Amino acid sequence: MSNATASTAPAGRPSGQLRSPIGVRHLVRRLLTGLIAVWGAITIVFFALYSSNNPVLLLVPPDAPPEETARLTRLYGFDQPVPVQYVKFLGNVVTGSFPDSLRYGQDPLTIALQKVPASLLLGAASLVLGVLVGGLIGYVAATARYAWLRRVPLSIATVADAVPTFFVGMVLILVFAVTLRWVPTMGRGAGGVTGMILPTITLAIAFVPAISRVFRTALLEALRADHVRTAIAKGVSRPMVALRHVVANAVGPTLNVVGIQAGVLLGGAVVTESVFGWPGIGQLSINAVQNRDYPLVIVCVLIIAIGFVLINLVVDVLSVLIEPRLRA
Amino acid sequence: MSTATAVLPELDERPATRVRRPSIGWAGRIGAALLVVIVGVSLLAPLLAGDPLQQDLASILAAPSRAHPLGLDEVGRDVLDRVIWGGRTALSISLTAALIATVLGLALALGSALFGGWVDTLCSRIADVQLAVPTIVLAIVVLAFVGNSFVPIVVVLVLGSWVLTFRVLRGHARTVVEQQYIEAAIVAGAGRSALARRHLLPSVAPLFFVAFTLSASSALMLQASLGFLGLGVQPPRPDWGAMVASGRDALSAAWWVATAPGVAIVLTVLALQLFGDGLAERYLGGARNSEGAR
Repeated sequence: MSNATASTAPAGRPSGQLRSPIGVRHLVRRLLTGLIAVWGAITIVFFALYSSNNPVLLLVPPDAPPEETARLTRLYGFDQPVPVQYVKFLGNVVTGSFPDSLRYGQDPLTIALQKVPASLLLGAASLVLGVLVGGLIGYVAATARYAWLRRVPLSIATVADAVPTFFVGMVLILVFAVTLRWVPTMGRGAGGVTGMILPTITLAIAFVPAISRVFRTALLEALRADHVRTAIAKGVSRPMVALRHVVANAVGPTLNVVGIQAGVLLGGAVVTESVFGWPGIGQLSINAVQNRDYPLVIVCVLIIAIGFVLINLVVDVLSVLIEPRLRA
Repeated sequence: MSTATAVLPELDERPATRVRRPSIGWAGRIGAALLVVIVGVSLLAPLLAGDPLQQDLASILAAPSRAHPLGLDEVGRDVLDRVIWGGRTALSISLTAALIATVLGLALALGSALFGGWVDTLCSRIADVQLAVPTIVLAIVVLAFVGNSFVPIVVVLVLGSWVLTFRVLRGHARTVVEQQYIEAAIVAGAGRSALARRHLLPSVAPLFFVAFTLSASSALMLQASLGFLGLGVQPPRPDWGAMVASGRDALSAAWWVATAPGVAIVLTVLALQLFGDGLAERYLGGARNSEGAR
């Protein structure tokens, strides 16, 4: 890993020179894949919009004068052939010009972007909590000395996997807000931090089971590896073996699962925000659907899709940094 | 195990040794039993439960009693009746979606394994694209613009879950295709359809059933979430997710209204997962792969 070992590096690599931790080509390829995904989301939105006979009627207020309808029809080219419409739609999305929100009467992009920080806060907090708890359960399930300790926490996590996120939130509200009155019921409210506790736990529970299962499997695999036996045999201390040789090797696969679970995380976030009235992009999108505020729906969906791509990108870069074997 | 075959004389063509399969385990049996009860109750809903829409406005949010074991909801409808009828909604939608998704996954997986080349590449690319669009985005778009009746909901659930089956079955089918007995069958003149019917299908069948139960559990979960978000089947048709959502407002006054359908969801999902895990244990030697695409 250091310069000193460069002489033993595989042939074909100039000696004495460290490779960049992540290949530029790898990064570019991932970015392109992400762009394709966003493009796919835009395309789905377009065709869903188009499948209702006249998209303009969805995008203007119900009481809009005919001139306004006609203006928007021309602006978005809905009177032109579908391929032309599609290109125009793509162009409008790229430049960020959307019709005004029907409910708020202003640019939907501005409204939606204001909600992003709250969602990020909730997502980050529950990601930290979920990774810590899931990691702990997985570690205990793989290494604990007592059979019950190996089984019980993991079983609880498995049962939790069968509980839909909205019902987790509901039960938490019932127990801690309604019955015990420890925390406020709704929103971030006056409580500030206390209002964050239940949503964070709820969202974390959505992916603790997956993390703990994968981490356990990865740990068991790492524990069987030859180099671990060697390390124990040559007298490396137990905690050091666990940390440096076992856990370090199990983090890569687990991180990968966090990436795969990103979709679950987003879906869970939308549900969690709705349950707790959390003022984030998820709640906004559901409200927009219920209010038939289609311009706002489009913007919300695109922001969520971009968020999904970004999460996957970050996970990808991180896993290559942690697991150099992955950089092909 | 089986009493019927024990009486029959052993046929010569039978392989001399049969693989002894592990049982589906006690958890799997509990899941199966629970599943039988839930499906049975849903099928017999017209006999077991009263009208889920009948209102008793005089006793809104009444507590559980002998006449109404799970109480009344916010507009005076019997919660137990609605939970039983809601099971029909939940099971019909999620089982239909899971069946279509797994059959689609199976067809594409067999196609990929048998034809290879560009067919395989194309199917895998489609699966990648599918994974790149989160299901919740798909659900919001389709259900907002196309409407939320049975067919669009099923389409969303299918799109959200076919990749899991495809990935798992494709991997398995590809290893089977590389086996020598397949080569022998090809030499003996077996066509692709014969290979698929005689060799691949029997080989992937256990995996298919495991994939089906696990897809059904995730489809049910997603269906309930959509119902909760108001994107599912429309009221007044009883739907577990929507019932939890409407009971939420009365949580402090009548907690049972939201809790009863929620428990029904959890039990059904759990039953499907336990049964699926049991099947996986029996036929695949464990290693449930629920970490795949959702």
